[in-house]
Amino acid sequence: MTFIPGNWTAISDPLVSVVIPSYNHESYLYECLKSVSDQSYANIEIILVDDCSADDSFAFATNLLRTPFGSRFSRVDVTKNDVNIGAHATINKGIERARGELITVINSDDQFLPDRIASIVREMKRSRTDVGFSLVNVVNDGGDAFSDEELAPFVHFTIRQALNLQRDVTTGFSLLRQNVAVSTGNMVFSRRIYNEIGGFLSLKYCHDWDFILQSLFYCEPTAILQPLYNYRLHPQNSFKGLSHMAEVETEVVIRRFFRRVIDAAPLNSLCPSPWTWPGYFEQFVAQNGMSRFFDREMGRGMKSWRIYDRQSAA
Amino acid sequence: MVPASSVPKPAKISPLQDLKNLEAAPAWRGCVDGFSEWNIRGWVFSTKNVMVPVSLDIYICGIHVTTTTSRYGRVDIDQIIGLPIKAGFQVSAQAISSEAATRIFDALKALDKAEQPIENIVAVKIADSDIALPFSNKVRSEKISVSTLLPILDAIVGTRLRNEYIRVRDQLISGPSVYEADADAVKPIAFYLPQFHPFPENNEWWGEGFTEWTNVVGAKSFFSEHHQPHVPADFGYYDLRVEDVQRQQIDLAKRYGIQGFCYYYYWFSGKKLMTMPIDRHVEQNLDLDFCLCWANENWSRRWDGSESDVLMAQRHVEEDDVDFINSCIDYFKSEKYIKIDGAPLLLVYRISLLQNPLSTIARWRQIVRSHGFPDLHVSMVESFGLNDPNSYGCNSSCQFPPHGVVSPEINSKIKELDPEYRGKIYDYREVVRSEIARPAADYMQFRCAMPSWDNTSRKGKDGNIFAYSSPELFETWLSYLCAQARTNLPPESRFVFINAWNEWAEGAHLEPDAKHAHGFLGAVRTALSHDRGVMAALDMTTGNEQIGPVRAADVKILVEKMWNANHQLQRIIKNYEGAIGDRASPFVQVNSQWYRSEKGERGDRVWLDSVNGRPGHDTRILLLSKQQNLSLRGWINAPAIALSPSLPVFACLESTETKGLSYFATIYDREPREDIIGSLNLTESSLWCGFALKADLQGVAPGAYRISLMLSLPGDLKAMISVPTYVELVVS
Repeated sequence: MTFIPGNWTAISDPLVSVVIPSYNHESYLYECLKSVSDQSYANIEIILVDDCSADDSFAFATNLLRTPFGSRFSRVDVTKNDVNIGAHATINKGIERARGELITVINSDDQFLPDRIASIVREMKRSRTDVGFSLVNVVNDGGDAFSDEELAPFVHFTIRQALNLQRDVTTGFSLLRQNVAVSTGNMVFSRRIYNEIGGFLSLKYCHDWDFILQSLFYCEPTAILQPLYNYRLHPQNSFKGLSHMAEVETEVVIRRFFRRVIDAAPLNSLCPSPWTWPGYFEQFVAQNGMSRFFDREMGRGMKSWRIYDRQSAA
Repeated sequence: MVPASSVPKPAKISPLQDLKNLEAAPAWRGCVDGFSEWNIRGWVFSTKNVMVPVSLDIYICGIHVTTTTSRYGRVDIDQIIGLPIKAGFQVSAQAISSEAATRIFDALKALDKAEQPIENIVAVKIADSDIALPFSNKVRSEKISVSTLLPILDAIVGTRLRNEYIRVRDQLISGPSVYEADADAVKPIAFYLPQFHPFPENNEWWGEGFTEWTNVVGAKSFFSEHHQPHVPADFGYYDLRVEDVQRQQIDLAKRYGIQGFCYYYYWFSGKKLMTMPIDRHVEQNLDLDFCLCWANENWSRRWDGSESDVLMAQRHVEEDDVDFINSCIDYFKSEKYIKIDGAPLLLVYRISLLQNPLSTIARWRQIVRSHGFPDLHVSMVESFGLNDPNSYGCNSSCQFPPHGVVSPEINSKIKELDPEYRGKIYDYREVVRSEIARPAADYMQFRCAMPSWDNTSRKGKDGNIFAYSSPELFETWLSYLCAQARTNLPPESRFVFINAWNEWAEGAHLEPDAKHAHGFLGAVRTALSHDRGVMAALDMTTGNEQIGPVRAADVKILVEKMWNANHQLQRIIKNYEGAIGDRASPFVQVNSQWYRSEKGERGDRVWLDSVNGRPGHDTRILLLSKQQNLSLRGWINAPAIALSPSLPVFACLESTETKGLSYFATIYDREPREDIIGSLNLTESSLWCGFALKADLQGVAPGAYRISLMLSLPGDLKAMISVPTYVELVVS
């Protein structure tokens, strides 16, 4: 069965599942849930999966959503993992429980802006696509907990994101350069494309980037140039750590993407690939220092490999 | 000497620290009296027998980290007890596994206070008891700063991960690809030779350990461009007894779009040889379709099915043929077996050897139907000049190059040909030319291409060679076959065959070798592509055919022009070896609510070394069209602001006519300028004052603009300080 982008648009008022992976953010959880409740879009269900928080997040969510606060939603589903399984697995679990044609995720310490879902769904419908995201606004709740160097990546975040997004020939190329979609919480996607991609990969930091790059194979995402997502900085996410994971995860994400767009011509005719952008794609890859990943996925090997003749491998 | 920590205040003393009365419960004495950077130190002994080492379980954040025993000498304890009892224990950060480190890391991050008493983090328990060792007052009094512990855990995970990098990465990358090609696509099937493992008959006839490789390794080159020996690359000189090899072959084949293997099936009057890979395919339900080609010749010493030197004979009597088809049924029943409308596809290598092919095949059909299949699809291999499948009762035929190809011998044109050589050399290019031009058959024909062919490794100086083969030529050939399959064959039987996946001793292999690496496999993938199909289909049209109002020949010319131009441009770009700059940074309108303007110092300004290639100091007004780029290089003089390269700087165009209209472009290139801070006596915080910008004006409305740079302030997410260039830009 061939994937047809925008199939969900046949439904006039699709149910949007908001999946909340909750972890130790009890003090931020109310604002998060409130921001979902305040959405101008009506048909929303809440799927909250608590990833074995040490605090009372689970009880708080259960009790709050049991009050009339919860009746605003088409459906409420709150569960708890027996053991901590990590963000990607919790999100996948939440999506399995969701029933919406469209799915969006929100981190339990972040907030939606009131028109977020309505704007993105409208724009996705207009461009008949299965993935949409917006600009992100960063809110510093950490007071003096952050050094200037720690804050530097977040300075003028929205403006930088907006300009990075418009830097390349397509949104897809900007996404290949870096994850301009920013976070899992900033994406809206259809259930069908989620199934095609096969869920979020078990990566600690880059599962969102992997997901949106994989989605490029099927359709061109739509980017709304308005900040509609509040990303909160607070002391708990101060020391990110495990940065060495970033290197291996980056290689995994890029090579998985290359493999996908090399092995078969993408269904999305704008997707960065050697099929759709012959010549330009290779040039872009070389300019962005990704040639060694590309060459390996092309089966060309590397200069240091002894199993291929030097001259023909070069 | 007794350290202060061992003599705590009476009020705080734990019975475990009571060294005066060893008779009193509990049955152990001990204490944790050192903790720094995950080094946990202390002492412990059993009062029952002070000489016996005591086992301890170490927990961090409730996570079991390791088990240790007391084993180090502690002079202080020894003096008190009066015996050298080795009561000391010590656990270093090394004992924390990377898995535990990751969990501890997460647990620590979840703690809401940065300073923690040690009891909240560390527990040292005597093994097989509920007794935890107390902490010395000193250790207890020093609160633990969580933020200093995190980097150590991080480093533990990091070091271990470095060693595991390749495995972790490969496991993550190799996730299954869920994308499936559409059902109407052309399906390439590669012939697969199983003779890559030793077995008793071959050991007997050819010597111990004989396989195809025995011939492959000994090949020699007979003229300067003669590519021999072929050296296998990715899989090496593999042995099919190793299960993993077949899986890897299948993974590789699938990645390049091969949809099936056609295994040679060696069945000699009830005797099977080399069916191990086929049996494994069925038993393990390996993830690739397959079919069988009955290699129904005699097996001879000459590898050509001749009557002389027969090693294993076919009889081809009636009951043999029945036994044969019965032996196939289990394979047919595999869900991976290739079927056409439910009928299993069976190839017969040399149909003319059957005594009575018509009645044999009729009988086969009956038997296959009796097993519940709708029919049997028999395809005759076009070997040895066979070309009429219907007369043998077959459904179709399958080409089998080099059998049946037309190509002149070119021995006389080969330079420096070894005079010993007695075989025939043919021109592969001619083969491709004639195969492309071959008219469609008037029966159902599966077409077949070969990547290259050369059996000198088997036959030495008597072998034949197809010279000048290459992945590019093979791709051309195969893409025509695919285009023809789309036109001539119904979707469910849209096969093209490839001779072969691994005929190494005939020089015909898609499997990577040292010279071509994945070249021939890549050719398969490209030949299958939609674009290549369109090109081949266009080429097959006669020039005068109309596509709507356009002549096919004109479309062909247009496509070729664009292809050539793109190809040439790519070559130019390649010559510049990365000297070509990145895309220009676009000027984009930015909502003024996204930032907060703050005033800079009066004297701050941007000095431009160059503006669109000209010296910057004489430029006051710059006239550019929207199609042009704005290029600036210079430095920022703002001594009060720290110019860290990690903080963004934007170029800004502010309209002098329309109030509030402004555009931003990100400056991606920043430069440290030691020359500037040296000559102007600026501090290190101005080092990164240099910048270069190439910006795109496509999105800018015509009009006049002041050019300035917008700086950000350290530690402030929204503040912007505008620094003027005193250059005005007029966009037309």
